[in-house]
Amino acid sequence: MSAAGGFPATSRGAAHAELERRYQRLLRLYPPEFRARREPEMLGVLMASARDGQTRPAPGDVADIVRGSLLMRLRGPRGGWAPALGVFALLAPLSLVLSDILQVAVPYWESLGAWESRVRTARAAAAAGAAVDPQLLARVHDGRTGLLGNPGFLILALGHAIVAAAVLAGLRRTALAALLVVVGAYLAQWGHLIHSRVLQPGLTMMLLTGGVFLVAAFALAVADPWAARRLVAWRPAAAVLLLLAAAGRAWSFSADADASLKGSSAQFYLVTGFVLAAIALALPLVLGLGWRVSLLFAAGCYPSTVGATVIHTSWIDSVVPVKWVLGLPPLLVACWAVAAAVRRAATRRGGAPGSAG
Amino acid sequence: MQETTFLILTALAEGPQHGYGIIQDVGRISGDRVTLRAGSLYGALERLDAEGLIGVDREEIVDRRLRRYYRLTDEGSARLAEEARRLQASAATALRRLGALRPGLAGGAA
Repeated sequence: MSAAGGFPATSRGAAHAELERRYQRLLRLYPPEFRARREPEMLGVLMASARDGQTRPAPGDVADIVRGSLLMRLRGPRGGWAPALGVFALLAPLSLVLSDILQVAVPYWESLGAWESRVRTARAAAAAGAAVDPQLLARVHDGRTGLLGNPGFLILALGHAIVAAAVLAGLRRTALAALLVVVGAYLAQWGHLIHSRVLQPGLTMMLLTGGVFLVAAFALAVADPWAARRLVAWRPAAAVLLLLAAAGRAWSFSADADASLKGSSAQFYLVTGFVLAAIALALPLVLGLGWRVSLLFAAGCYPSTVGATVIHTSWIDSVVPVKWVLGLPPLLVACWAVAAAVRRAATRRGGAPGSAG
Repeated sequence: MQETTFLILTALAEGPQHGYGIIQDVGRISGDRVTLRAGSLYGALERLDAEGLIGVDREEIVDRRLRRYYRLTDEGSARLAEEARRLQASAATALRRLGALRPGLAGGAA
C-alpha cells in the first residue's frame, strides 16, 4: 500500500486529524474564491509533507501560508487587470444605482426633522436681512428634496439603472451602448453647467462622478462582467462593499447640497463620506478582490469625496475650474488603463506569431 | 524569471506532476538548496496558470485526497527553453572568464 507520489501511508490517528484541522483553519486566510479551487489539493500537499505524529503546523509552513495568502489577497483573483476590470464593471453601475436611491431617500428621511428646521432658520435669517441669497436657498432646497423633479438627475439615474440591468443580464453590448449614452448625458450637463455657471446643489457633484463612468466604460469594453459574477459570487461582504461605496457617494452629494449653508452637518456628511469611502477602498483587499479593484474604486470615489471638500473651502467662486482639475485623476487612470491594454494587445499579437496554426 | 519559477517549470519539463511531486522534485533539482512550501507553490502555480505557462493535466483521488496533475503548455516549454539558454550562456561566459584567469576553477567548461 505504498503511496507512489510520496504521500506517506501513515495511520490516520488523532494526531493526523488534529493537524489537518489546524491546517484547514490556517487556509481560511486565503480568499474564498481561491479556497474553493485549491483548498483540498493544498491540504493534501501539507498533510503529505507532515511528519508522523505531528500535531501542529510547521512554523515554516505557517509563515509561508500567511505570506502566500496576503499576496493572494493583494493580487486578486487570478491576477491581472482583466478580472479586476470585470469585477469593477460589474460593481460600479450597481453602486451608482444604490447611490441614486440613497440620494432620493436620505433627503426624504431628513426632511422629517432637522433639515426642514434648518431651512426655516436660514429663511428667517434671509427675511431678517442677513446675507443669505433666497434664490440660492430655494435651489438648495430643490437640490435636497426635489431631485425626483430634476430632469438632469432623472436622466442620469435612469441611465445608471439601464447599464446596471444590462450588466446583470449579461448583455455586454447593450450595457456598453447605454454607458456611452450616459457619458454623453454627463458631458452635455457639464457643458450646460460651465455655460451657465450656475451651481446646482447635488447635481454638480453627480457630474463629478463622470470619472467613474469613463473607467467603467473602459472596463466594460475590455473585460467581461458576466465572468466576474463568479469571482464576486455575491457574498454578503460584496453587498456591503457596494452599499458603502454608494453611501460614500450619496453622503458627499448631501454635503455638496448643504455647502451653501455651511452648516456643521455638512462637515458631518463629509467626514462620514470619507470614512465610508475609505472602508469601501479597503474592502476589496479584505474580500480578496485585489488591489486593482481597490484602485478602480478609488478612481470612482475620489471625485465626489474630494470635490465636496473643495467646495467647502473658499474656492467656491472658482468652482468650475477646480472641478475640472479634480476630474482629471480618474481620467488619467482611465487613459493609462487604455494605454496598458493597447500595449498588451500589441505584444500579444506580435509575441506569438507561431501560435496561430 | 525567478529561480522558483524556473525550478517548477523544470520539474514539469519531463512530464505532468502533482503538487507534492513538484515540491519533492524541486528539492532534488536544486540539490536540496531550495525548499518549496505549499503557500509558495500554489502562489506560483496560480500565477503560471494565469500566464498560460502551465495547465491542468488530470485529476485523481488517491487516499481520499484530490491530486491535480499539472503539465507544461507549449508556451511554458518555450519560455523555459529560452530561460535555460539564457542561463547557460551567462554561466558559460562566467566560466570562460574564470578559466582565462585561473585555469583550475573552470573545470572542463572551456
